[in-house]
This record gives sequence, C-alpha cells and structure tokens, in this order.
Amino acid sequence: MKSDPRLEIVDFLPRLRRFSYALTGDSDKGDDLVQETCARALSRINQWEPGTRLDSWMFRIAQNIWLDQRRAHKVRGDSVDLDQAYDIAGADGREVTEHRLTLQEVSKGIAVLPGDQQVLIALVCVDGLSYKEAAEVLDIPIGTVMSRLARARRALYDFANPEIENAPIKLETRRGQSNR
Amino acid sequence: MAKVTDEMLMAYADGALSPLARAKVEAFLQAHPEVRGRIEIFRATGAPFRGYTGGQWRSRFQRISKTSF
Repeated sequence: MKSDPRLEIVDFLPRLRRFSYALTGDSDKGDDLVQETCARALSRINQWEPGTRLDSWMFRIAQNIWLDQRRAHKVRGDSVDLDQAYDIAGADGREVTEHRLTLQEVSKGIAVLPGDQQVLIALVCVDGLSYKEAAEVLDIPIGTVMSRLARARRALYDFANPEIENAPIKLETRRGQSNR
Repeated sequence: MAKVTDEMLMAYADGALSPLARAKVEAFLQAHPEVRGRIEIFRATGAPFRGYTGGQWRSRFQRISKTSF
C-alpha cells in the first residue's frame, strides 16, 4: 500500500513508455510523450482522486496530449487515406491467410490509423487492458471500444496484407451492418 | 442461429468471451466454417504485441528515471 502517488507513477513508467512508443512509433517522440505526461500528472497530482486507478488517469492524460499533438502537428501520418480506403473496400468479405504480422508491420500500420483507434490498440493490444478497462479509461461504452478496436485491427491487417483483395468469403454476419 | 459479429470474433480470438458466449461462437463456426478464417485477422493483429516491452527503443528515460523521482 503506497501513500505517495508519485511512487505509483514511477511504477507505472514502463507501461507508459510502451504505450507512448506504440503511439509515436519513435524513441524520441515516445520519450517526449512520457515526459510530458509525467510533468502534467505531477503538476495536477491533487486532481487525482485517491482510491481511483492511477494508471487509467495517466493513460487519459497521455491520450489527451497525444491527440492534441496530432491535431496540432499531424505528427504521425495522415489518418484519412487508409480509413477511406477501408470504407471503400468494405468489410463484407476477404480472403484471410495465415500471416502473423510482425511488430514492425503493426507499428507502421498504427501510424496511419486515426488517433482514437491508435489509442485503443495501445491500450488493449499493447498494454493488455481488457475491453472494459479500456472503456473506463476512455469513458466510452464497451460496445464502442469493441467496434472501434475491431475496425482498427481490420485496418492493420489490411495494411500489412495489401495484396489481399475482397474475396470470396461472404460473411453473413456482417450483412445489415454495412451501412453504419 | 444467432448472428456472430466481428466484435465477437475478435473477443473470441482475444480469449475475452464468457464460456457461454464462447460456446455460441464455436457453434456458429461449426455451422459456418468459412467464417473461421476471419478470426485470423484478430489473431494476427493481437499476437505481435505479446511480450512486447518497447525494449527495441533506447530510452533516455531509462537512464534518468532512477534519479529524477
């Protein structure tokens, strides 16, 4: 049981670092995000409510800084192209092959995702939070977490497998969802 | 048969379903084996991160974090 939240912040640093590197894809930018997140957290440490999760609070701070940076500088890629390409391609069916993506592939793929999808990949796939925990961090419904995350992962998969076109697999399960 | 969404397939691949929901998905996959391959999308995009430590990046923070707090 720790009484000093600053010690909890130190314990949280490795997770924050992974999260930041996943988002920025870059050692220097990742460190900058870690540092800025810690600075902001420490300057507002009295706003953190004891008894609530410090990691969720820190992730929220990091997320806000990251999304602000993206808006201000477009620090990573242009998120629009892939997203639109995905919409055009449609989700109804495609051939899926046994191709485990490499970390490098997914890292490059993350760069072109929209910011809100990047954050979810970093929270769930990288940090290992459950969908429910991610929903609490972001203060959004769990259904939104799941649909956004599934969308992000389809996009990552397509990014790493550009040769895979729409294909014969017809998915009954997606009919009726196509015009959301 | 109940519909199975991409979100459920993702949760299935992530091992995040309750036993009941898991059984539903498995029953659906038995009846629709062509959907099975789709799970690969979610396996392929979850697996690379397992055990990922961010260690391939050299962090200046690693050096200073011991002393700055």
